[in-house]
Order: sequence, then C-alpha cells, then structure tokens
Amino acid sequence: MSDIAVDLINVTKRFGRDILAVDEMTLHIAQGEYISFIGPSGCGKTTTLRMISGFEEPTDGQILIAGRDCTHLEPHERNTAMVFQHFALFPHMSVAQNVEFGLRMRNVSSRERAQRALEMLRAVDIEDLADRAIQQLSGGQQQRVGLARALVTRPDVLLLDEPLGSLDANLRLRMQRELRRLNTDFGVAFVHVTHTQTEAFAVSDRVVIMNLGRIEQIGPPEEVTHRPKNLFVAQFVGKNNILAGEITGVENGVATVTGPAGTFRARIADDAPARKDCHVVVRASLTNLLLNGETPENTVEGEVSFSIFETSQIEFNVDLPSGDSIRVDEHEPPPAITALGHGDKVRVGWNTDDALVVFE
Amino acid sequence: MAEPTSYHVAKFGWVKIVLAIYVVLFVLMLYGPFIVMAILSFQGEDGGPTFPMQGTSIFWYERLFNPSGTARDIGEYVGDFGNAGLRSLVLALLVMCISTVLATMAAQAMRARFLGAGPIFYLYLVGIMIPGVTVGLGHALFWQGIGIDKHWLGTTLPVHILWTFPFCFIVMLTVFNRFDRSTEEAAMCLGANSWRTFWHITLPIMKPGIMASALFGFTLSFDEFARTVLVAGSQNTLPLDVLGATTIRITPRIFAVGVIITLISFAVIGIFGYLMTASRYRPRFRGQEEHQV
Repeated sequence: MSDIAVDLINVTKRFGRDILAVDEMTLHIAQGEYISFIGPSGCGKTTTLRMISGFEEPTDGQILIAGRDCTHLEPHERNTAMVFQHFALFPHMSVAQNVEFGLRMRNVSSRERAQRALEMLRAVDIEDLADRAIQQLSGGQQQRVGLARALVTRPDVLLLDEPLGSLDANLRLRMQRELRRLNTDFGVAFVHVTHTQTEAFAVSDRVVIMNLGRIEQIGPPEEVTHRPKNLFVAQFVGKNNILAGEITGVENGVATVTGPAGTFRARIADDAPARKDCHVVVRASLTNLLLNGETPENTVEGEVSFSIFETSQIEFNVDLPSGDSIRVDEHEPPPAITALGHGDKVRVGWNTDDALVVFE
Repeated sequence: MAEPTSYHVAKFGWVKIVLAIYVVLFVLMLYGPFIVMAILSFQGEDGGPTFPMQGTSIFWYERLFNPSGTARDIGEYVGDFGNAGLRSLVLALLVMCISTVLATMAAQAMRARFLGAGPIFYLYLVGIMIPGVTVGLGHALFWQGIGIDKHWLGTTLPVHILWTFPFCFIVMLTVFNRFDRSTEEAAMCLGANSWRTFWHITLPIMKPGIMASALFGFTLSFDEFARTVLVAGSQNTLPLDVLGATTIRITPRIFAVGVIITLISFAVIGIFGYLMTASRYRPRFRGQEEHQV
C-alpha cells in the first residue's frame, strides 16, 4: 500500500445535474511516478487534479493519498502540494518567506524552517534570491520559487496545474528538464496537467489521455504514440494519418481494410472488437513520398497541396482523390523530394507494420 | 525634413498650450480658496473675513479654543469647535472601523456568488442613491417613534455607517476583483485552514484596499452634514457647528477652523499613504541576513 501515492477509485464528479466532469475514474499513481493528464479542454483533467488537492469534492468514489482516505478532507488536511500556472506566490512575502510558509503552517521551528527553505532554494538553484521580493523575479525564477515552496513540505504528491503555461518556449524546455530532475531527486509523485502534448511526453513516465471525463488510454509516452487504443487517441496524439474503411479479412494479426482511399493492410490487436468499420492509422513520420521504383506494401496516389519547411524535416500535405488528406513528414529528404511542391502528383507509401487498425 | 517629434510639436503646439493653461486654472481653483482662507485666518484682531488684512495675528486660532470669550467679545455664534471636532473624530473613527470590517465581510461573501447575490448587491448600493436629508429624517422619526433620545454618537453612528458602507463595499469589491484566488489555494495546499489563509494571505494582500476603504469611511463620516443634522441631537458634530457659526456672522475664526481641518486631512492621507507602501515586502540590504538568529 505504501508504494502508492494516490489511489483514485471509481471517482465521479458532477457539477449540477447535467455536467459530468469525471466519470467513474480509477487510477493508481505510484510513489515517485511522473504522470501527466492530457486531453481537450473540458475533459476533466483539471477537475481530477482539484479533487486530489481537495478543492473539489467527488460526487462519488474514493480518493486515497499515501493509503489514507482523503475523499472528504479539506485541502489543508491533506499532504499534497500544488504548483500553479500563474505561480500564485505570496506577493507580500520574500522568496524565503514564501518557501517557509508551508513549514510555518506545520509549526516547524523558525531555525529549522530557515534551514530547510535554504536547502530547497539550493535544490532549485536560486539560493541567492532568498531575500528578494517576488516582484523582482523573472517568470522562470518565480516558478522555481513555486516549486521550492511546494516541495519543502515533503508532500505525498505534487500537483502541477499547467506549470509551464506562462513561460516562454525556451524556458519551458529548460523547466521540463528541471521538473524531471526534481521528480527523480525527491522521489515524490508528480501529477502534471497540461494541454501541451510534447510537454507531457517529455516529462512523464505515464500519460493519461482523457476525454469527456473518461480515461481513453494510460501508458508510457511511446506506447500511446505508437499504439493508440482507439480512434480518439489516434486523432489526439501525435501527427497521425487516419483513413476510414471496412475490414475485409484478418490473417496473422494483419487486417485488410478497404475504404474510399484504397485497400490497405495494417496490424490489428488480438483483442480487437469484432467490428467491420474501422480506421487505419499511420504516423506522418512513417509515411514516405515515393521515388520511381519504390514499392512498399501500401501506396496511395495524390497531389501535393502545400508543404512546410522545418529545420530538419519537410511536412508535405497530400490530397487524395477520395477527399482524404495525408501528411508526410520527410526527415532530411533528398533533393528530388525537396523540389516537390503545390500541384505535383506524388505517390505516398508506408509499411504494413507501421500501420494500425483502430476503432471508434 | 522634419523629425516626427518636431512635427508633433508644430502641429499640436497650441493644443499643449491650451491644456497647460487649463491645468494651471484647475489647480488654482482647487487650491486657491484654501490659500486665501489660510492667509485670512491670520487676520488681525480688528479685521473681517475679507481683504484687506488689518495686520496679522493668531488671535482667531486662540479664539477657537476659548469660545466663551469670543461670544462676549464679538457676538459670534458660540461654536464649540474643539469639542465638536473631538466628537466628529470619535464618530468618524468608529464609522471607519465598522464600515470597513462590514464591507470586507460583504465583499468576501460576494466572491462566493451565492443565490441572490445580484439583488443584494444592488440593495447595498441603494444607500448612495437616497437623498441624505430623507435618510436623516427617516431615522429621526424612527428614533423618536421608539422613544430613544437623539445623540451625536448613539443615533448618528448607524446613519453614518449606512452612508459610508456602500462606498467601502465598492472599494473592497474592486480590490477583490483583481485578487488572484490561487494564492489562497496555494496557502490551503500548504496546510493553512481557511482562517489562517485569510489572516496570513488574504488580509495582507488586501491591505491597500482596506486602507482605501477606511479612508473613504473616515472622510465621508467626518464631513457628513445632511444625514447628521436631524439625528445628532443637542450636541453638534464639527460640520454642524461650522455651518451654525456661518449663519450668524462670519469671522476669520471659520478660516482658522478650515485650515486646521485641512491640515488634519493632509496628515491622515499622508499616514494612509505611508501605511500602504509600508505593507509591501521590500528586499533588505545585503549583509542583513534575515535568518541569523
């Protein structure tokens, strides 16, 4: 029991009669684990975080924190800590006073408070700012204070609500590494809510993808990227091409799918539902524009509608006669492909192993 | 080739001159009367409330605190400004405290957006709209009806609070509007219950707003005339006394009172201003380590 930081057991949250924010959610978060919640706005990820912190009370179900039933406890009675998008630092206190606040509320002696606060500030690399006013700090420094203030109380779980949302892009990348390092150093479970997928994938051990109050898929970032469990996850995660069709046959874990765009072969899970209507999913980075002579297992023909140049890759968007559109990410392509542009007829191909059948 | 700035000066120069004249006139209108009043308050013993000055003296300031002599000497209405001022001060301080506490509580409650919050919000503000004399008359009749004698504190205090409360309430509401609720949530997560959160976080962050609200409460009460005149009873507050004094015969003594009141007001504003800025955390100088016990 003690290696579990948070247990959510059949947790349901309704707002009023009509709005079901979280629907029978069950999730176990291990101690020291870094877990992220992603999903479209209104999917219930923030509500879940607020139920763990105690700012919302579940309508039904149970929440255990470090094995203790906290379902109906006030926020101050739980040993959780939170990091906020807009930092929520106390503007009338110094950096050190901010960090000490949680210890003061726990009646820790002033000598120990000062010492632990300083250690914590050292851990987030801002010990020289201890006596500064909050207004004197940059955004990144403020978020470091927020982290120090939260971690100094040795919480059972650290809740991060869009923690990097108000930082600029470069700083965000640096803070991602910082978060990962702190998670490892302190061995505290981190629960991170964000709408930025790349951020969630960069920092997390496991990602929880939510939609309409339910968990669509839980797994390590590689798993949800490579093996989306259903159509929603395939659409939401990464840059996937999705082609609709019907299964016409299954052999050795490979399905044959026929749809408006053509007939394709794709992997199908053993426990797939016995349904015909499905979608073939293949990631943009695993599709290729074909040069003469190349004949992979699956091909479609179409016309380039536009391309976007990025430093190490070019993204081609290809319109198919069926009305579908396919995105092809070419990594450092040869000149023959770089030269392609709007209106050029092209063939797109991919391997059967890289394609996956998903259902709605 | 004109620089953009010189183009602006050339084109809008006359506008700036007109605006400058306007500002000078505005400031003169604002402070002119006070300056004239201040000069005339040092009128010689034989002088009147207008120029020319008949020498200079502090006679009228002395007479402020010796009203009985004044009455005999110059036949003026016996304004007991010292005691009236003291009454007004006590009244205003009480009104300030009670109004600010009530307004803070009411504004806190409004944050919860409870059922009926909208109508109650407007009900709170009605006190500003009703003509003051009407309110005073209503209260006077009420006290008379239930058989309570009118008094400068007992029966006046409720009327003043009804008057100042909406202003304090609006000030607190605007302050709470800009308040970041997540600072309170941060405190709760860190182990503070709702009372400690209010005491350690909400209140200190609100402090400038509370000060502004208190300032409103104090000045509105200290100046109040229309609502006060019918409920204050036989002992006057300062505004009642000043007006009473002007109805018989105006002497430079009134100016002396005006000067003293204005100086007190400046002092009050200065104190509030100091307290507001002092409530912010300021970094210490290097070498003054906070935690070396």
